[in-house]
Amino acid sequence: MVKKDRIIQNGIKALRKSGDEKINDHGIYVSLLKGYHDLEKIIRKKSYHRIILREESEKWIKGQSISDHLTNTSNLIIYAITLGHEVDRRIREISATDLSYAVILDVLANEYLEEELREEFELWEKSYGTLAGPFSPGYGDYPLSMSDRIIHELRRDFSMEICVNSSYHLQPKKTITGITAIKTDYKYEDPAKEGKEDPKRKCRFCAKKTNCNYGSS
Amino acid sequence: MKKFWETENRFFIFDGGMGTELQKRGYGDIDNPSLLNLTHGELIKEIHREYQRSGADIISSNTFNASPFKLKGEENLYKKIIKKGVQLAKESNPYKAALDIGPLGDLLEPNGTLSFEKAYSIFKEMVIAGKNAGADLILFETFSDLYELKAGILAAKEYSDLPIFATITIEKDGRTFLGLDSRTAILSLQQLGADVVGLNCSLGPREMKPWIDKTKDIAYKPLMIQANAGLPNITEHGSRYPLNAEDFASAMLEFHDDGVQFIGGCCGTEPSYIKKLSDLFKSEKYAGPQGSFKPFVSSYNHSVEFDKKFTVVGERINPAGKEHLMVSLRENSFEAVIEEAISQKNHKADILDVHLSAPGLDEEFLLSTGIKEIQRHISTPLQIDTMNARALESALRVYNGVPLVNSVNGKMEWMDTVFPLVKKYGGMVVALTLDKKGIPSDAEGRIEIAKKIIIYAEKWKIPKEQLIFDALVLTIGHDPESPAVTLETLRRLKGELNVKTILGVSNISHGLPMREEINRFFLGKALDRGLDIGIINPLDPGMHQTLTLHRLVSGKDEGARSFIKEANLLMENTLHPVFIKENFHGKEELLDWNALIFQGRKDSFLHKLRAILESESEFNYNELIENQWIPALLNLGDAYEKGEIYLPQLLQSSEIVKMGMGVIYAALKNPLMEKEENKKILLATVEGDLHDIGKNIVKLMSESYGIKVIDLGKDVSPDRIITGIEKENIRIVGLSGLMTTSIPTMKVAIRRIKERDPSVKIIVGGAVLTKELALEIGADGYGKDASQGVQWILAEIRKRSGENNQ
Repeated sequence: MVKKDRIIQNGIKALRKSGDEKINDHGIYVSLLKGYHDLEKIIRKKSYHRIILREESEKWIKGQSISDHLTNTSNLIIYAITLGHEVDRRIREISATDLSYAVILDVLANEYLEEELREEFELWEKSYGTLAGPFSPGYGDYPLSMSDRIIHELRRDFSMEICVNSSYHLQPKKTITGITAIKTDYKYEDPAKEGKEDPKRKCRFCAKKTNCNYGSS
Repeated sequence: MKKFWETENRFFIFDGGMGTELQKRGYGDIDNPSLLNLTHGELIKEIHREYQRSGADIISSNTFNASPFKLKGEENLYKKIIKKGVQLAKESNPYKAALDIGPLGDLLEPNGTLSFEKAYSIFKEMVIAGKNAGADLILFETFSDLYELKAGILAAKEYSDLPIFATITIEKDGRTFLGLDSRTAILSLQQLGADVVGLNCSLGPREMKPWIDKTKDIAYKPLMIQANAGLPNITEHGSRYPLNAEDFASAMLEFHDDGVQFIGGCCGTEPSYIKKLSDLFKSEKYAGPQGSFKPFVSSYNHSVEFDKKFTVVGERINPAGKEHLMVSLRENSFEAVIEEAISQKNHKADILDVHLSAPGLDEEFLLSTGIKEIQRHISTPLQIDTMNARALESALRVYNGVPLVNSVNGKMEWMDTVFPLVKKYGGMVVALTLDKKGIPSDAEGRIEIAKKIIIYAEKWKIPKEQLIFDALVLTIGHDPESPAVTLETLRRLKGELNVKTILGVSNISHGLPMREEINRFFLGKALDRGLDIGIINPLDPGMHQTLTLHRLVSGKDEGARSFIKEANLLMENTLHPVFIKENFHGKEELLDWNALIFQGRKDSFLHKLRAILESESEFNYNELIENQWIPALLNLGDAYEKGEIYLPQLLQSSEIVKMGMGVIYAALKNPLMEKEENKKILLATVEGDLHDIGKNIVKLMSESYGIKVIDLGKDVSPDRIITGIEKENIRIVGLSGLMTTSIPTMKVAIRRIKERDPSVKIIVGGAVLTKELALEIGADGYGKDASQGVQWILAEIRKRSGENNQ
C-alpha cells in the first residue's frame, strides 16, 4: 500500500465509530483525500536525531518502561519529527469556519506524522542496524518532561524551532519526540504495518499497571 | 551620523562557528555553551583571539544561547553571562564586538505560548546588559519567526542606539521553519529597523546563493551572510560538514556583487575558513546595496508587493452597518471578525482592512486583540484602519509583519502623530488628500496636499515610495461632480507625482440603488487612470470580473489566460444550481429540512431558508427550529450513536443549523433573542491542556440547538473559570481535557466551582475520562462523546426550565 492510501485508510479507521465493514463511505473518503492533498501543500516536515553512546545513556533511561523497552540494545537514538507550524495554523483557520473538515485535517495530520516516523525508522535501520521500536515520553512511566530533555539535547546539533511549553506540550503540535536504540538480535516489526497492536503499548505491560488512575486495566 | 560601514567602502569579515571550536577542545557536550563565559573565560577569549588573528573584523560574543529559556535551572544568570560574554569578545581586541542574540528558545503566540510583550522584555534586558558591557552592535541571528525578531529589534531600538544586524535561517526551499520566505524577511526586516539584514546557518553558501539572487533587488541596506560549511552529515561522532576552507571561501566569493557587505561562517567553519575569506575579500571594494525600496506589506510569512499587480483590499471588517459584527464586538467576541476575514481571504483579497471602531466600543483593545485573533487564523496582510493614536500604536506594536496604515492626511498634528509611529514600527501609509480645511473640491487642491505630505514625510525619513495616496471618493449622491475630480486627481497623482494610489471604491455609491453596478463601473474608470490598490468588497464577483476584463482589454492578460480561466469558472457555476437534486427517476425535487440537514447540504439549506424569510412576512421561527430543525438534529445524534454516520457528518450538519440560526437572527434584527439565561453554558479546556477539538465540537453542536455558549478556550485556569461563571451567571459548565495530566486540574476546578455554588452543574468529557472517574472527581455528568455531552446539557436545561416554570 502506498503512503497516501495508508494514511487515508488509517484516517478512516481513526474517524470510524465502529466496525471495519463501514469503511466504504465515499463522502468521508473524498474529504480525507482532499485533506491529504491540502496537508501535502503545507507540511514542512523536519526530522532531527542524534546518537547517544551507550555509556552516556543513563540519563535517558528513566523508569521501568523504557528500561524494559531498551533491553539488549547498544547506542541510543533520540529524535524529534515535526510537520511544522503551518499545519497547526491551517487547522486553526479551518476550525473557525468548518469544524468537520478541521477534524479530518487533525486526524490526517496525526496519521501523517506516524507515517513519517515509520519512514524515518526505515532510513535509520538502513544506516544503523535494527532498532527497538519507537518510545515516546508519556508511554508507561516514562515522564513527559523527557520531551524537554530530548529537544534540549537535539539543539546541540540543530537550530530547531520545536519547543516544549511548561505543561510539556510540544509546539508545533504535530510533533513527536522519542527514543529508540540499536539492537543486534531483534528485527523491528511495525505493528501498524502488520495490522497488529504492539503488545508493549497495552496496559498490562505498563510499569504503572498497578497504580495508574486512568488506565482501563 | 554615518554608520561605521558607510564610511569605509569595503567588506567586513565576521567570525566563524563557536560550537565547532568548543567541540575541538573537548567542550562539545556542555549543556549550554554560554555558561563557559563564567567558568572558562580564558578558553572563550582564546577562541575569539584566534578568529581575530585570522582576519575577522567583527567578533560575536558567546551569548547565542544566553536566554532564560535555554538556561534550564540557571535562568537568572543570563544577564551576567551576556555581560561577561561581551567583555570577553572585546578583550580579544576586534575592530567591533557584536552582542550575539539567538532565538529565545520558546515560541511566541500564536505558534507557542510566549507573549510578544514577555519576549520584548527579555530582549530588553539582554540589550541593556550587552550595551552596558560595551557591545558595538547587536546581532540577532538564526531566527525563524519574524514576530520574535520584531520584538528583539524593537527592544534594541528603544534601549540602545547600537546598529542592528538581523539574520534568518532558511531551508533549501528559501523559507524558515515557520514558513517565512526570504524575500518577505528581507523586505520586512529593513522596514522594521534593522540596519543590516541577511541569512545564516542551516545551509552552505551554494544553497544560499539562489535566495540572495531573489532578494538583492529589494535590499537597499547592506546584506550579510554567515553560511555553514555545506550541509551536514550525521555520524556517531556528531555532525560533519563537507566543505574545506578553500571551497568555502571560493563559494562565498559568489556573493561579491550581490550587495553583501558582511560575510562570515557558521556551523562547521573554523579560523582557517575565516582566514581564507579575509584573504579573498579584504582588499576588494564593496559596490553598495544592489536593490531599492519597493512598496509592500507583509504578514508573518508572506508579502504583497504593490509593483507586481493590482492589489485588492477587503473592506468588510468594519462594524458600520453590520449588526452581527457590532453585537459580537460588544461581547468582546471575535468570531464574526474571523469569519469575515477568512471569507474575504477565500474571495481573493490580498490585504484586509481592519476597522473596529464604533460608539461605545473600546477601540484600542478591540483593534489590537482583533489583529492578533485574525493573524492566529490567516496570514493575509492587514491594513490598520483607525484615527485613534493610542489604538494605532497598540495595533502596530502587536502586528506580525509590516502593515498598511490607514491613514495619515495633510493635518500637521496628525502627521506628527502618525509618522513617528510608522518610523518606529514600520509600515506603508495611506495618505488622504485632505487637510484641516477639509477635502478640496478640485484636483489641484488635492495634489497640493499630496505634495505637502511628501515633503513632511521626508523630515521623518519616510520616502514617498512608502506613501500610498488616496484621491478620495465621495458619493455621487452628495456631489455629482466628485467622481470626475477623483479620477482627475488620480491621473495627476500617477502622472505628476509618480506615487502609488488607493481608493475606497464603494464610497461612490452610498445611498444609491444598484450599488454593485456603480462600484464596478467606477472601478473600471479608476483602473484606466492607473489605480494601484482598491478597497473593495471582494465577495462581489463582479468586482473581480471588472479586474479580469480590464487586464484583458488593456493588454495585460497574456493569451487571455486569466479571462478564460475566470469565464470557465463562471460557466461551471451557472450550470450547477445548488439547491436542487435529482431523484432516482432523474426528476428534480426540493428536499425537506430533515434531508437537507442529514445530507449536510449547506447551500440548499440556506437557499431554502432565505426564500422563506423573503416570502413570509410573519415568519414563525420558533416553529421551524423546535419542530423541524431540532428533531432533525436529534435524528442525527441517534444515527451517530448507532454508527450510521461519522463525526465529520455530524459536525457538518450541526454547522448548517448553526448558520441557519444566524441567518434568522440577522433577518429578524434581534441577535440576542432566544438565548435566554437558562440556555447559556460555559465551556473550557482545563489548564495544562491545549487539545480543544472536543470542546469545540460540543460548542458547535450546542449552538446548533440555540444554546448560548461562553467559550473560555483552552489551557484555562480554575480562577478564570470561576470568574467566567460569576460574570455570566452560569448554571451549567462543561470541562474537557485530553491528557491524563489534565485530570488533577479538572478536579481542582470542580471543587472550586462547587465550593462557590453547589447548584452549578458540571459535565466533563475527554479521551482519558470514564464515567466512574468523572464521578470520582466530583462532576455531575459525563459525555463519552460530544453528542452524548450535548444531550446531557439539553436535559439539564429542560430540567431547569421546568423548575423555573413551577
